Amino acid sequence: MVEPTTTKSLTNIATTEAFLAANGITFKVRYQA
Amino acid sequence: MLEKVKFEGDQPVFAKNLFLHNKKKKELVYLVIAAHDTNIDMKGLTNHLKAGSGNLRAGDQEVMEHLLGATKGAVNLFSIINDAAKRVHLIVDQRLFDETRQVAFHPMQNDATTSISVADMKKVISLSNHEAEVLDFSKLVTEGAAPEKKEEAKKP
Repeated sequence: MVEPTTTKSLTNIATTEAFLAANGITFKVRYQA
Repeated sequence: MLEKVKFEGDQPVFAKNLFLHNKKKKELVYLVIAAHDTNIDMKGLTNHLKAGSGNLRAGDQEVMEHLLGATKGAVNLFSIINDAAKRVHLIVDQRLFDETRQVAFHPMQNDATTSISVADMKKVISLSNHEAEVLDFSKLVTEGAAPEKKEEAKKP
């Protein structure tokens, strides 16, 4: 059985925002105080 | 595109995100995305997934990190993008699609919350190459619940 790659493209808020922006997804972010 | 603001006006519905597995068949793993106030009847969901009584459990944290790249407390819809091998079965609460406009998730870390539209939520799922199973959890509750007792007519 081939194991799935362990390289994850989304790992934190920065990569998530980059992914959303790159795909034309409008988003709002609220940071916890 | 990027707006870092407080959520105002069109308040998002916060999602709860559950990573589950079948303890007898650990290769069967599920990411359940539901509205924060949707009642998830685990017995009903177990029946629906034909998992066998008591077999549907919270998935191992290590497996979650391996498959979804998400740490404890931060699993979310976006993490399905990381499941390139499509090992995870995605289940989405029908209420999110039918009753909301904006949905909020942790953006892979739980010290922030990201709000996107329902249309973009569907786009994220499409980009992940997963097919979401859209589930009406209220029907699961009905299936799993004891039959409603009819009130006996009171004698005068």
